[in-house]
Amino acid sequence: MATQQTRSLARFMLAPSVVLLLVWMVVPLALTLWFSFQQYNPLNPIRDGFVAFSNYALFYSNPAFLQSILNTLTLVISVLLITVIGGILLALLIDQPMWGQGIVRILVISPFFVMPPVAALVWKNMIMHPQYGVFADIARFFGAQPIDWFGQYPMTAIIIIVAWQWLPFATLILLTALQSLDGEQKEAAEMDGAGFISRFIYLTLPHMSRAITVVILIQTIFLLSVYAEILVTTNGGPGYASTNLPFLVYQKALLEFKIGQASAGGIIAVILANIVAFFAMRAVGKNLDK
Amino acid sequence: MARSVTTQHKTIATVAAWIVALLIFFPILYTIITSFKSEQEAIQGFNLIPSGTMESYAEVQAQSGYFKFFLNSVILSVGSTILALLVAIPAAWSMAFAPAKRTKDILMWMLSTKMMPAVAVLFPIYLIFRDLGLLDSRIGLMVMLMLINLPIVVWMLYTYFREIPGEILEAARMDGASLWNEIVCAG
Repeated sequence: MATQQTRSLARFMLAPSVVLLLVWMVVPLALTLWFSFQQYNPLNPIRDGFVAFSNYALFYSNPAFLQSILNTLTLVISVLLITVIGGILLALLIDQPMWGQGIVRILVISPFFVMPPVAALVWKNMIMHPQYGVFADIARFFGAQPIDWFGQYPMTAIIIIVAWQWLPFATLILLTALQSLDGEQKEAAEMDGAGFISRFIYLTLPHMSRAITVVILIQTIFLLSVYAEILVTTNGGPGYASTNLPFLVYQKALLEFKIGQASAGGIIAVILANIVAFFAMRAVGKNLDK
Repeated sequence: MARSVTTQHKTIATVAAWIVALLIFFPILYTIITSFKSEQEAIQGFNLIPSGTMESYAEVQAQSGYFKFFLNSVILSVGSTILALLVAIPAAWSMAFAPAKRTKDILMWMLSTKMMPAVAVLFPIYLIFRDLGLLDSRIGLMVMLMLINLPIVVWMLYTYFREIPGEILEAARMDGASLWNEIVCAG
């Protein structure tokens, strides 16, 4: 349908976003790469200079490094599992006919509109606080010892908070996919005597596969760089128990002013993100073509 | 097509869904309730009925000028959204209606820029902003937010534009609609 004229017009209209994003991506990345080979400390500039790969060596030998990569992956995978499975179940539930469906949907989606730092604060001070929190109240009600969530199980606590924030997103996307499922197909399957479970496995799940990949892709992007929740709740501790890669880089750059090491960490984070992205993109690319 | 739904089925679904929804909503609900409690009440253990005092609201405004920060948030979000739309609408339009061989790759590449962890490039961006004199300014923050969100905006617009059948646009063009009319009326 496109004529030669529209084609060149299209190029022209596409250019601003491509140029902007290219500059936005290439310039800071190049600078980060440059800094990662430098010793650079804004507070103590005497020893600044080229140091080759020693920033990478230092960052790698940091005991927090492997722990932080492990934490990053734990967070991404756990939250993905919870939100995708929970989202499917929740979408199936609120897709049923019921009274007050509109209100139920608003309630389920509401956590998505809470900013991450606020959500973390609410969970920290009112739900998981070992003294005043609701969980502590429930534990005391049953005569149990309240759990100090952020002291004893910091990763679990952060996973719960982040999953709570992303469950609505998954539910919303999956619900939209569910609603576009043809009612007649469902009816035909029912007529042929397919039970609820086989209907779900052979009809609903394949229909939702595209939506599921979109959910996984978009959430992975955001989960790889979770940061506010950790800063607000555990500050990476106790020790390095809940430090993820972005948080470690932040510590190096803004608390210790080791820009060189932080940049090396940033480059490692970019590489990790690209490895994850490579697999995610391939999966999604295949599914999007359908 | 409509299937008859038994009342029993509907009742079970309603009860289950409301329980789950209220559980998910609970942290927000409890925050709202607590905001109407006095400091003393707030730390006194689980209590769903507040005394209804408004003193916390008055205090927040008096102590830190809450409204000013609120206004900043509104200006930033509205401003960056408008900026992002100005750049993203033409791009999404051209990719949706005049797709080239590389369109899919460009889309994927745009999304992949979001995968770069923000902290990795934090310091260079700080330096660039310092040299451009954009530090501590709303404009600088607005531009940055716009760039961060641009890939997602393009993606959402693209999927939306794709749903519009091309024939409609062709017909409009035949009838002498300009490009501007096309985007405004159809999009």
